[in-house]
Amino acid sequence: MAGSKTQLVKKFKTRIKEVVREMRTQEIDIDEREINKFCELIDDNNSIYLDDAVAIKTGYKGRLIPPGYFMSITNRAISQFFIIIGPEFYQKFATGVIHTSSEIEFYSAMLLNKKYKVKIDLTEPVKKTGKKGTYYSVVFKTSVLDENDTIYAIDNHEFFIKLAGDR
Amino acid sequence: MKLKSKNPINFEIGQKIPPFKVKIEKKVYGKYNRLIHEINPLHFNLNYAKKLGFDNIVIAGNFLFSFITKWIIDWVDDIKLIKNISMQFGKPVYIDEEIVCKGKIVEIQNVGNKKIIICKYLVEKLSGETVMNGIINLIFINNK
Repeated sequence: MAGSKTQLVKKFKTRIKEVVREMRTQEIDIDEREINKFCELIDDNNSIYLDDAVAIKTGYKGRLIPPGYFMSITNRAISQFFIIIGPEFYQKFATGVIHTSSEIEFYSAMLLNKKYKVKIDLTEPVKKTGKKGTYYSVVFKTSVLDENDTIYAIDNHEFFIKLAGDR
Repeated sequence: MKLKSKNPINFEIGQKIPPFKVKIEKKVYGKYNRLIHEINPLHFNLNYAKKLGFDNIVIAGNFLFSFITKWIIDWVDDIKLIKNISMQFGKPVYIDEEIVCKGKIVEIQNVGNKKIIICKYLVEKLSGETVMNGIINLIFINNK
């Protein structure tokens, strides 16, 4: 029993690393329409996101992507992980996944109408036991970069993953 | 310390950030999910959410984060000041629930020509349950 659990944990760790390697970096396109819509939804009328002239007057080269949209970008990239790993993830390994925390570091303001890419690195899963049982903590270090590999922001996106057979 | 912004603020330890209240309506959240191509059914499928033991559709952390940054940027009036934000999630936020963001400055550090303003914050439901908390670091560079 213990042996099969050890095997499951080993396979789980190997598989998630394989998927992240397979993903490499993803190019992302964020257009004005998307940012206009986002600003409308969160009721943000800050002109540096909506008006090139104001953004330029403020000292930027053009409109900016709201920092609040950053996690929507990283979420999209992380979703790709779950799409790639597919049903296998729940059939073979996990019985539950929950986003428990994020640590976001901002380095530079993101200009709209610029090409970006998202890169994901994975930490080694760490076993944790608490009130709600045993989980594996996995951090997806998700970075947004430009074509020159300049980093704009990083989201250390932590999931608690409950593996099959854990209580 | 006074920041150079459209609406200068004096920062002091213990100073409260003006609270921010928002209700995340079903219609708005649905539009957000379509915008970002959300794939996790927990955030749009009521039956799935209930099957997992939740009372309703759960608002994703990434959408809550949008309001944290908006709240802080509206306060300091400068997007460049935010250096980092940590978020620890607590109770789930369901659609059509109202939440309040509260915070205060807990420390001000002088590091070379930089002032680091450390704020602690929490997000509560109107019932008082904490749904999120964390730390926000603002960095002000004095060019003089």
